[in-house]
Amino acid sequence: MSDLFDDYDAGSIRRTYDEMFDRYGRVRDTYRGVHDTLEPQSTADLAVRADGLSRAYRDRGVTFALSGQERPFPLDLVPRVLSADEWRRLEAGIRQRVRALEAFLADVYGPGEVFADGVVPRKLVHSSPHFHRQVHGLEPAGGVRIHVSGVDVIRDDHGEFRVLEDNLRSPSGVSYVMENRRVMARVFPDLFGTHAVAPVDDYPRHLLGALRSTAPVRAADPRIVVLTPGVHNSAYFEHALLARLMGVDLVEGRDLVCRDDVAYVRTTTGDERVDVIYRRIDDEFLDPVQFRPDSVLGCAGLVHSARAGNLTIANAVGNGVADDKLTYTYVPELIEYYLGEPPLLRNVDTYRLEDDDQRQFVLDRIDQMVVKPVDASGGYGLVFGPDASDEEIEQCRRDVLGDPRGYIAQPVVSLSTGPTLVDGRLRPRHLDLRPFAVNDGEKVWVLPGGLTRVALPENSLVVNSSQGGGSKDTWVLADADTSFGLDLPEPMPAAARPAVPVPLQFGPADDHERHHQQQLQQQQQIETSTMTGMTERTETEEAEPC
Amino acid sequence: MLSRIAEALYWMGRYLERADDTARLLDVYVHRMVVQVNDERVGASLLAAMGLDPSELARIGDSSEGPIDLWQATEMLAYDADNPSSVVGSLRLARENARGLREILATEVWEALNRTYHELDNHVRAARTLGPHLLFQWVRDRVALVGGLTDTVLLHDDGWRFLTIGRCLERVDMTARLLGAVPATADASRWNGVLVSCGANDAFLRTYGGDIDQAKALSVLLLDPDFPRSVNYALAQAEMCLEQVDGSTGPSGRRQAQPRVSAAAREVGRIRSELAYTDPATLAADLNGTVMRLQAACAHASELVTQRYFQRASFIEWNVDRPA
Repeated sequence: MSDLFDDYDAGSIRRTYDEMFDRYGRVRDTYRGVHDTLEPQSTADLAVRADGLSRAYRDRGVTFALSGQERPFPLDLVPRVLSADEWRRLEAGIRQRVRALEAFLADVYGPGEVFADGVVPRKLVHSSPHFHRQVHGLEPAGGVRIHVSGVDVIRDDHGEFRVLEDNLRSPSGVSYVMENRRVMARVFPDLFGTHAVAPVDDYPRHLLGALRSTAPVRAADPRIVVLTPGVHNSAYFEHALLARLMGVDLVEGRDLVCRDDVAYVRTTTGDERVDVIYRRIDDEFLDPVQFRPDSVLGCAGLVHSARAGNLTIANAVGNGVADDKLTYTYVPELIEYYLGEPPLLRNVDTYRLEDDDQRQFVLDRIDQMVVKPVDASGGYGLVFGPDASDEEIEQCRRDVLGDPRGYIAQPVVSLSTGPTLVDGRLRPRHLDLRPFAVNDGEKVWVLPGGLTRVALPENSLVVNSSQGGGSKDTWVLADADTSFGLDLPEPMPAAARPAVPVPLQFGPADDHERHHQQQLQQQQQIETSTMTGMTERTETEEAEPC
Repeated sequence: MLSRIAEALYWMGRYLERADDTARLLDVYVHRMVVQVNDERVGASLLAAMGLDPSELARIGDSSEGPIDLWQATEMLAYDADNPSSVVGSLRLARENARGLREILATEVWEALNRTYHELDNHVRAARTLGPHLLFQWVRDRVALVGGLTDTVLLHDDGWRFLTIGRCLERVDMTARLLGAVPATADASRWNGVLVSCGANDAFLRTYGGDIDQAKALSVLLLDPDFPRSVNYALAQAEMCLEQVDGSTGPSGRRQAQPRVSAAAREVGRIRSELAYTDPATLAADLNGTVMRLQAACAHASELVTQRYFQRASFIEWNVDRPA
């Protein structure tokens, strides 16, 4: 018995939902196995494991750049566990959301019925800095704009999942999901015990499948590339990993060239045609002809090639208009409007600061609010009311009044907590979850689990890795209804295996001989040593490292 | 070169390769089982792949009835020093052979292998508490080090050739065993595991991209002429070494009507040609047969090498007539 969980101040005292313990301090069923494996461990054991985790990350080069410094991404030892049931609900909600946003984008860059029907104001979209006229009327191959999305969800006080934001441009973090699992299984195999955990290594295959099936029709065997800004990007590790696991080239802007509305990649044997670009650079840098003319990260002419139907850009240009935080407030309505279904996942309550009443309401209690810029990600520019200094509050108030369209406000939502190893003890720390969805045009596939981010400083609610967050391996437990393709035991066909195992071969059957020889030598030595009185001679001969 | 020396080098090569391949195989199995689902039959199938009878479990003091779980299999195939087919056992045997070769092996090679042997216990102890991956990773590193040294500082004479023949034949045998343990129903992620355990995953991705199926995986593992861990490559290398050690046979001055190759070189060449000139679809369809033929050919080639080069006096125990 150890004291790992001593003073674990779970949700019983504070109002927040704890992932492992219920309100009465009892371990939830989903966490039973993990809890029982952890409990007998000593602090020293866990320290060794934690050390193993970070060493594994350093060796594998799983790092992210924080303010220009390369650091291993902190991975916590205690996994986050979701039951199959919880997962099914979450997955259905994410699918629904992606389908609705897909329809919304098609509408925004097409007929614009959503404006005509008065569901969202035209101004909302056209005032978004991420709305790009350049791609209006551009029909993407396969009808897919959101090939990859990451929908950030949190659990509220009641344990219900709520959507915090949508990431539809180039959500990152999926490499950590795969690496976390791999490293956890290696460093802490006992933890997995008898659980059947949904595998996460299928992701590159699904992504490749989606990129293939949304390639321009011309291409029977499409050439796919991953476009990265380069080694200095904070997510470069992820770009390289995905390219490697999909077996496609990782290119930079300078490797690409567009001629006559066709994109090519420069190779030693001449230019080769490219059909699909999975790009991990922002719209603004993608095509200097259309966007920032000083961009050296992109390649001139990509948007034209896409418009000519010769190139698929994944994710599509202009998606930012749908993950704008103000658009976010309309997503429940959009789901009803496009799909005719009630939303399965609720939003977090959000105030639109353009609205005079709502803005006044927020400004009156700004110290209890989280104010976020609508177009930023990574936790940059966020003002957290309860923690902010008077000057920050004042600055924030001025910013909001100066550009009401630029901000939204949310009441402080207490994220759920989960046990996290801090200074050798397990302590509650706040978590969120980013599941990743891949849309191939026919079906939206959601990677079981996702990236659980954890705010390492005590009581912090900001989980972004750029703000000192870590991550946890996220498990979805399989059950009878959802096996996640795990090949549960099936009888081995008798003919599949040779009846008698083929024995390994071994060297000369001289064990006997060698043994005999040894004996002789030993006898000889004993005889010599007894003669000379050096009795320890046999000992040293054997024990001495040769 | 002395037969005894040649033989020790040959077996040193085989045991080194065996330790490496077993560690890779177990690493992937353990990882897969740990991460996904704890399949009770996996222990038995692992033991069978390594040519062991489950009854041997009794020897390590685990006489419990019922299916062999993964941890028992790991205990036996990784840590058990008394089991000559375990990772630890293979390394011990490799070092045992190297011990008699100290004047032949370059100092660096011997030291690398010997240090590995002496550090084994520590790593086994650590692996028992912190998970077997630590040991597997370390063994792979050490074998790569020894292998790299044999290739760079050892004289590439006949001795090196025998060592290489041993490594290559063992690689073919172990790859065949591994393929024999893959169920016919294996899906993409299973084949991915197989590729990883053969160190072939990156080679595969560079060749075919992320789209894995049985036919492609087999073509890399069995046929790829550029991938050093493929069966084809290993056989070709063994064949080349066999031909080179065979260089000085035949009565001098007389022309010969057949190429001067030993029976062992012929056997290796035969199975390599069989692979190369069989329709890949046929190889895949009768994977089990392919595996059996490969293993049989390796065993046969090994016998031929032994007969031809490793002559040894059979051990005679003299009875001493003691006066009563």
